[in-house]
Amino acid sequence: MKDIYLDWAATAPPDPDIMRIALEFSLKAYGNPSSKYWLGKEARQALEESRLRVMRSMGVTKGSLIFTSGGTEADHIPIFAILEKLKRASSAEKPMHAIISSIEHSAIEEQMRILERLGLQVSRIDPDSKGHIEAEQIESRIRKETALICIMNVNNETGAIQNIKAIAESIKETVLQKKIKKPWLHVDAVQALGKLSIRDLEDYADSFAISAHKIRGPKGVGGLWIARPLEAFIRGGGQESGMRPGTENLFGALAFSLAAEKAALSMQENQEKAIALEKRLLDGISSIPNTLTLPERIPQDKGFVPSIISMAFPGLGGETMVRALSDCHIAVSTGSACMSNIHLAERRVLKAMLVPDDIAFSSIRVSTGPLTTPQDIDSFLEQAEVLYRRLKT
Amino acid sequence: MHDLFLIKPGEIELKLGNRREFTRRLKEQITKRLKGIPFIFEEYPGRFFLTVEEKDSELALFVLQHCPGINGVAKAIRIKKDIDEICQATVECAKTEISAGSHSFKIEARRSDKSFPLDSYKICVVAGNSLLSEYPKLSVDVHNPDFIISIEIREQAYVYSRTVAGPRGLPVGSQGKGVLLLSGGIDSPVAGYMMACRGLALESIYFHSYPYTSPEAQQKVERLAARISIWTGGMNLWIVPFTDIQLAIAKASYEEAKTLMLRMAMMQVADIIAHRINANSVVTGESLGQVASQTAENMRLSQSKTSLPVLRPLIGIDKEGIIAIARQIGTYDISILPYEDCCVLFSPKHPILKPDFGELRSHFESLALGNLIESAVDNSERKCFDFADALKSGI
Repeated sequence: MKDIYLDWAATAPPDPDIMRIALEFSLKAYGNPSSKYWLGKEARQALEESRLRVMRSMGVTKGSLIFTSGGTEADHIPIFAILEKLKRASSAEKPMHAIISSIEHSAIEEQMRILERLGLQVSRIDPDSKGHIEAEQIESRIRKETALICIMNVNNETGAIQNIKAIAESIKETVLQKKIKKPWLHVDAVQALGKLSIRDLEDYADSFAISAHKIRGPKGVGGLWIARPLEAFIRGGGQESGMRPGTENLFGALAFSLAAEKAALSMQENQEKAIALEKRLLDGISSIPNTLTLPERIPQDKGFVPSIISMAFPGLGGETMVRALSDCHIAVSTGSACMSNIHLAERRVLKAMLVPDDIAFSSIRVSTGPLTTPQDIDSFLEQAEVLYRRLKT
Repeated sequence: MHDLFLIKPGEIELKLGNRREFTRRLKEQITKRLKGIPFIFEEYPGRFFLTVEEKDSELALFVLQHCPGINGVAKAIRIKKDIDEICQATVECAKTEISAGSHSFKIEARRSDKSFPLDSYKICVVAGNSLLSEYPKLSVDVHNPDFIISIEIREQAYVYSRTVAGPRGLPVGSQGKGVLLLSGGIDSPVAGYMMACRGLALESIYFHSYPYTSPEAQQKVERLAARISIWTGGMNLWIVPFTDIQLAIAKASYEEAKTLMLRMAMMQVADIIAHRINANSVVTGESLGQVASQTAENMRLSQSKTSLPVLRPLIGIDKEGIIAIARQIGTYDISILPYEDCCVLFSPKHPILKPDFGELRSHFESLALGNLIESAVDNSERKCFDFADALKSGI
């Protein structure tokens, strides 16, 4: 039975050529990039070239890129950076404040909860029923004490694209009007990288997070782009401009940069392919009675990346469907695991979009990538229909 | 070197006519659990003794501590019925306690052999004095001693200090065999443990509704079965494929009745398995009123699908009480693992609390699940957990 992989938003199969090149090089250039002899220098040079390659592939010319252990860590650095200020603010009249969307990745949401315990006030902005965050919603919550705003670029469950430009401009206007200091705007661009151009982020955001394994790079490496230095929370040997100490992961950085370069070069082609697959998937789903997409999707909707689609099979638990499809060697994921502790967290995004519980419970996420074929989509649709008919209660 | 364990049987002692049979069961249970280990088992009125090699001592103590039918167990010194030897053994026993930092003691003596020249009180005095002369810094405290030395004068004399509690009750198997409906929840493992301690051997039944229930949920139940095997000495787990039955109910029943139909089908499966393995009862973890399907009326309906008595040891215990036992027997942490079954879709929002018995019985019959139920039993997987699995389950 052929494996059909439709969970690219979770992770992408690593590119074997890229992995091989990076592995071979890192075996040869095994020196510590901080060492002063030839092995170190060779490693340092490759690391810095990798950094430039990632930036170049995104079209970013300003600021700096820090390699991290992945998207989660890249999201944490700007959050942790406000910790020290938080301590100072605790003696002030009003507590420090942050704004996030209620559909952020757990890397943001869960970390914010910790900071809330330490005294940070957090406003959570709900999206509209399509999963989009309106700039005005953020605007109205900005106040003098607001130090940080986190908005994700592309939602990992629905594929909804947030209008970062509009949000950033409205923040700028608001702070000018209110004559207050501009809060740091952090964008989680993990799902955006490779799917759409994020070149503009350098003009609008103060920082953004990316990850290698979503674009066929290795797991365990990511990046944080920052417009200007931040207060480092983790201290150590001063690597990565002091922002992310620890001996650098040369293999990861190199592979990441090659994957980013390849993704950038084939973005146009991949996008066209994704649009065709999206249409096929949406047409197919609409022909299975009772099913629906979450939110309701039409092909080529500019508000969504075409490669991520959430859909519901009412009357059949998402987890059950995932398991049944897995037996047919079709990999998709669920937005609603039937697990009490993850239960709420995983349904958080759909809940924020006011999707009824029973629909959210029956949802799965299908995400495609450069290797997905139309036949993969057809097989998925065919199996999903059979299983749905058999297992629906 | 060998270690001797003095075993205090509990209720077995009260069984006048059947004492021999109960003792046989207990010996059988101990033998089963000590598989491969050389030991000597001795029976005397009121006490049993187990001798093992020193290297097997820890395991033997664990076995005895978890063997229903045993009230308490202590590592003992066996000597002649001679007061000097008794005094020496008393000092020997006290050594460990003193090195553990104890300062005060009490001596308790039992003289079953009335021909022994000293009575219980005098034995305590003599042994106590010899201990005090050896360790002058020790003091006697009859109310709150740091340790107690027990002396028993029987066919021979025995001296011991630490008695470890056993599970009490009756030897497993002395009350025949029951089938336990084992879910992944908190209640049913506790019910199994309680009935094992009442002398019931158990085989468990788990209803697996793949893909509605996950393989992780099944693994959790297997861990629970292994854990309960500490008390049952081993257990078969029947994994019954239940999906087709569940689907048939979901398709042909109506919303409010689905859970009841499911319970009735489960009971019918349990009844068939029970008859196949010569079990005399069905054990469930039901507690009156805990959930909608556990009202007296609903229990009447489900138990109508078996001719056997349905034993519900938790019927009068509230959730907190059940959780306390589950923690004590180490099943709680397994039960709360987040692999619940995915039967939410089968749980009606407003289940029937007081069903019309006749009407729902006929509704169940109209579902005509007979063949599906028979084939589910036939296609069941049977996994065997022995005491060694129980030991691996993390003690």
